[in-house]
Amino acid sequence: MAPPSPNRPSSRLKVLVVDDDELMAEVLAIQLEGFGCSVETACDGGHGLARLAEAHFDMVVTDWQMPGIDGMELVRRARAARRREGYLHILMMTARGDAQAMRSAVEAGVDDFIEKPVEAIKLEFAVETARRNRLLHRKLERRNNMLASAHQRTREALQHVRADLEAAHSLQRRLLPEPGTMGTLDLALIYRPTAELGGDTIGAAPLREGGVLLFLIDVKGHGVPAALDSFHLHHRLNQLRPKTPEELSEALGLLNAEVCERGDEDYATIAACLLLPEWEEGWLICAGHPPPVLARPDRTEVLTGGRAMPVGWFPDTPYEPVRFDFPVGSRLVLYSDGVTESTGTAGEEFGLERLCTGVEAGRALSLPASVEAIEAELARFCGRAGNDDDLSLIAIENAPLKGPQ
Amino acid sequence: MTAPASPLTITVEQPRLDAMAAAPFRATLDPLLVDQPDRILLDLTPVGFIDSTGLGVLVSMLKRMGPGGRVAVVGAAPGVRRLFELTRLDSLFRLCDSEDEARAILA
Amino acid sequence: MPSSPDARHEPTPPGELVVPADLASVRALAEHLRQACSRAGIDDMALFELELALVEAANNIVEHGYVGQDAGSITLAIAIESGRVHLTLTDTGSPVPPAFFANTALPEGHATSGRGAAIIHGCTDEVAYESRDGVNRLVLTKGG
Repeated sequence: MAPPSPNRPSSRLKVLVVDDDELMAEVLAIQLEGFGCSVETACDGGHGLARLAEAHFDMVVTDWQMPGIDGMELVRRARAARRREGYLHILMMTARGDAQAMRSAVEAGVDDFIEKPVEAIKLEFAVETARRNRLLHRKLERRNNMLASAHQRTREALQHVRADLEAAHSLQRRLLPEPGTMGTLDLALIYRPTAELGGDTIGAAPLREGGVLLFLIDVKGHGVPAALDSFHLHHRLNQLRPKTPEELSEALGLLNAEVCERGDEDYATIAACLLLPEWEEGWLICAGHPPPVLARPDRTEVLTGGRAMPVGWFPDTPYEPVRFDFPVGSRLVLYSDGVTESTGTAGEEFGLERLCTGVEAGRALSLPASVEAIEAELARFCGRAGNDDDLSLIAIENAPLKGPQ
Repeated sequence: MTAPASPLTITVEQPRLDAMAAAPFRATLDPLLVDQPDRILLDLTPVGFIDSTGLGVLVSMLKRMGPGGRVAVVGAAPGVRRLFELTRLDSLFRLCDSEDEARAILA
Repeated sequence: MPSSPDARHEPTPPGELVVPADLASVRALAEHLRQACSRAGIDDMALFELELALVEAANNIVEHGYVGQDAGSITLAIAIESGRVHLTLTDTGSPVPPAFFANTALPEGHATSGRGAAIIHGCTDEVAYESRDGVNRLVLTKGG
C-alpha cells in the first residue's frame, strides 16, 4: 500500500494498540504503520483507557484477555466515555471465536474481530474498514451540522414570524369596537379567527350626527394576506367615514375600484350599515355578504335588500343602499358566513334559520347575554368538530333611553 | 534515482537467541543500526532456537529501521521458520530459501 | 525439597528436574526436555515446539513469578506415553493473573494473553493452569 502523502496528516488513521504482550503490540504497531497509520501502544487496559482519555484515536486494536482491565471492560468504558465524540473503530483480537462471548463483545461496542495470531491481510482489511467508516462518519457529521444550523435558522425565523403574528394579532384585536354603549346604541360581538390572524374585521365608527357606521368585512382567504387586506379595507372605510346613504354608496364603489385595480384574485364581502337611531332608520349595503338579521319589537326578519357584488369582482359594480326601519328596541345582527356555514356533528350547516331563532330567542335577554347564548349554541352545534372558518358576529341595539327610575 | 545500495548483512552468531542471549545480541546490533539502514539481510544459519524475547530484539531492530525498512531472512532452521509463521512475523520478515532470493527481494 | 518447605509435594518421580528460577536454568530445562524427547523418539518439529512452549513458560516464571521475593525454584516433570508428551511446570512464586492461562470469558480456554502465551498455545494441544496453596502448576500436553 502506498504511504499516505505527508502533507495530509489528518488522513492518517490514529491507532491505539492495547496488548499486554509487548512483542505482539510491537509487531502490530509495525504492521499498522506499514498500512499508513500512526500508532501508539499500551501495555494493558488501564494504560489504554488513560491514552484514550488524553488523545484522539480513530481506531483501537485491543487484546481480549489482559490482567486487570481486560479488553471487554476497556471497550465498555471507552464507549461510555466517548459517546458524544468522533468515530472510534474498535477491533478486538480473539483466539478462535466463541459465539456467546463475541456477542457480548459486540454489545459492549466492538466493531470487528481479528483472530490471533493476526494475519497481515486481515489487519489491512480492518484498517481499510476503519478508514472508510471514519470518512462516512465525517460526512455524516458535516451533514448533521448543516442540518442543525439550518434547523436553528428555521427556528429563529419561526420565532420572528411568531412575534410578528402576535403583534398583528393584537393590532387586529384593537381594531374591534369595544362592546358596550356607543351613543344610544348598545353593541356586543363574537370574534374568533381560526388562525392567529383572521380575514374578518368588524368596525363601528361613531358619526358626528349621533349615528354609527357599522361594518363587517370578510376577506376571502385566511392567514396573513387576508388579514392584511382586512386591515386595509377597515382603515379605508373608517377613513372615508360615510355619513349619508350617498356617501356609503360612493365609499363602497371606491373600495371596489381600488381592490379591482390591484388585479389579484382577492376580494371581500362587506356588510356596511349607517345606523341613525335618532331617525329610527338604517341604511344597508350587502356586498356579497350574508344578509343581516333584524329583530324588531314586532318581528324578526332577514334584510335581503341592498345586495350587490362582492368588493373586488367587477370594477363598475353599483352599490345602492337600502333603507330599513330601526325603531327603538330593535337589534341588528351582522355576521360572517363562518357562522351560518359552521358544520355540525352530523355534517349539516348551522344555517340562517338557526341564527334567526337564536336572535329571536335572545330578545328576552340582555344584548351581551343574547350574543353569548348564540356563541354557546354554535359551540354546542359544532361539537368537537370545531370551525374551519373565521367566526364574526356583531349585534347592535337601538337601546331605549334608560330613565333614572 | 541512485541505484539502491546493497543491503546490510547481519549474521546472528548466537546458536540460541533466547532471553539470556537477548541483551548481548541487542548490544551487538546497536552500532549497526545507527545509520538507519533501510534494507537488512539477516542470516540466521547459526541459530538453532529463538524464543519470544529473541524475536522481540529482531522486531525492535525492524522498528528502528523506520517505515519502509525491509528485512529478508536466510538460513532459518525449520523450527525458527515455524516460530516466524506461528507469530505471523513472516509478514514482516521475508523468509528466503537462498541468499540470491533475499538479495532479489531487497533490490 | 529445599525450595518449598511449606508446599505439599508428591514424592519426586524419576525424570523430574528442579532448578533455580533464573534464565541460565531455563536453558538447563530445555536441554533436559530435548534429551527426554530424543530418547522417546519425538520428531524434531514437535520437539522444537515443546521446547519453545517450555522456554516461554519458564521465562515467565523467572521474569514475573519471583519478583519481590527470594528467588525460588522451578520444577519440571516430563511424562511421555505413546508419543504424547506431558510437561508439568511447578513453582511457588506469585500466581499469574487469572486471565493469563485460565480463561473464564472464553469457555473453551482460548487463553491468548501475555507475553508468549500465544506461542505456548500455538505450540501445544492443551494448556492447564492452577494455583493452589502457594503452588502454581502448569501442564502442557502435546502429540500422541
